[in-house]
Amino acid sequence: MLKIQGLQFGFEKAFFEPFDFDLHAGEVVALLGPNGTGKSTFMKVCSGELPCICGNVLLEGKPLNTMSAVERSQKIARVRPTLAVPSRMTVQEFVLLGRSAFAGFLDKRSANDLKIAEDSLKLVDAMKFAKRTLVSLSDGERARVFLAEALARESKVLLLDEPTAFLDVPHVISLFKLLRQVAVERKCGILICTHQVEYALRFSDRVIAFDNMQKKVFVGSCDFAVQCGALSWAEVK
Amino acid sequence: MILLALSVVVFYGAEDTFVLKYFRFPRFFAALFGGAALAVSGLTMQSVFRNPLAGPFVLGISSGASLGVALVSLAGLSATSFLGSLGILPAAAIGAFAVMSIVFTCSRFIKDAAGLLIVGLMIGYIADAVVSFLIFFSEEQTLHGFLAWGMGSFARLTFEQIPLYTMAILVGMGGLLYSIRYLNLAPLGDEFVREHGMNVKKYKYLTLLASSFIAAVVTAFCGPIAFLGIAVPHLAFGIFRTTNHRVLFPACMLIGGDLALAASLLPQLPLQSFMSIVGAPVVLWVLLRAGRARDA
Repeated sequence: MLKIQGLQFGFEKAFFEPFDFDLHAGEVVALLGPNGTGKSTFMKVCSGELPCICGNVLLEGKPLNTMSAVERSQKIARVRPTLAVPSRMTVQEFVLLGRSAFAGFLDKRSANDLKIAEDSLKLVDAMKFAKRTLVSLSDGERARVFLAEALARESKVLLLDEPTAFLDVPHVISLFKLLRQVAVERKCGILICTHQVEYALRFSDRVIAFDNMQKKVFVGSCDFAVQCGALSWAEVK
Repeated sequence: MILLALSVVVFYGAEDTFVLKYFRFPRFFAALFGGAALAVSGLTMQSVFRNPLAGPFVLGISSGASLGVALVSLAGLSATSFLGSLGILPAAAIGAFAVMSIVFTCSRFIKDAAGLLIVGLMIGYIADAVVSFLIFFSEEQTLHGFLAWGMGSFARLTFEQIPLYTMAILVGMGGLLYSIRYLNLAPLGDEFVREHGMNVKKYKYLTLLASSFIAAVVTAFCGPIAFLGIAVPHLAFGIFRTTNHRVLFPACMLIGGDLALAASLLPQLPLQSFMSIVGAPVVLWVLLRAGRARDA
């Protein structure tokens, strides 16, 4: 679905050697790498918010830079846990904002939009706090609500930028399980950037590992990544 | 309903068509459109600046408009003559835009709500001080009209000015109505807006221009009116309990218009004082509530 060919990205100077990657429907791919290696930058390149230095990013065979901003936002959703939320907004109102790219200029929501938002909330099991304000939620609840907003966009590609940053162990596990379920049920590709290497290896289908020492990008299965030392930076010596 | 009741009161007892045409009618339009315009302007500024304490008066926009009017009217054009009314509108708009661009530039460096408020107040003080200088150096004849204008009143609009006044406000409101999708996303930040496929720059400039323009129109014709813009959005939220601008926008128009109509029923009372008594407690309430939320 999301196809990356000979991609190099970075600011002025490329971070890594060119690499290829293909995100399939129904799979969860973990993006691993130490801080400052360009994981968030890569996410923005994948969502089309930043241009790449060379290579192609194709979505369903179409280059991202030929798509309009609206079209991109309908097909790719990026989620950040650091989003600052306004104090009065409720969960339901927030999730309905996910339908913005489909609304007319008066921002009306159709019955279909309401149903999609409700389904998204149900899928992440957040119906019981739909009427509460965002600020009153716990970090675990908020992570699920942010995911629901992205799901409401019905995007084929979900890019999650460190969704586990504020979560404790049980919440990380339940979030990963939820992501697996979402990927299968919604038939979308999920790219998740995280520092929770162990859980990522346990729950994701493949990994992308950024190695800033060798300036190389590793793409492959979890076992293979460990075997060829692509994750050596994450080991406790 | 309230609107209907209030308009009945405005027109009640005015069998004399002269009074109706030249006193009641203009005042009705001035208050209804002026209140709605200031309230919507405040709502927009609060959403775009992501700041519950923003509003055309506290950010100094009204003072900027006053300065523009002072420059024109104290330079010899009477604010009530037709030529004067054509001259003060662009002057007020330019003054308002100038202050808005300063506040907007500052808003990039100041992240907390009270900080931006202080910047706006300071710019407002500077503008007011320049107006005082102009008053000091102007002749007594031109001064009288300007001072009366400076008190702020919905009774100053003339019958001939109604079309220009309402049209200008409707144009500005049209711009904001067109941006309603942006206004709903804006409280979550520029990056969030961009992720939803909208052109942040275009809508940000459009909404800030339109909201300062309608504040400038009201200031040009009715004088500076405090607190209406900052208080009404909070009253609207208090009643309708939603952050959706599809509801808040018309709600602010109604409540703002009603409040202004109610205030204009008391023509002897200085408008400024009335608005301060209604509006200042709302600002205090917002500040106190924000402080409590931080403690919790």
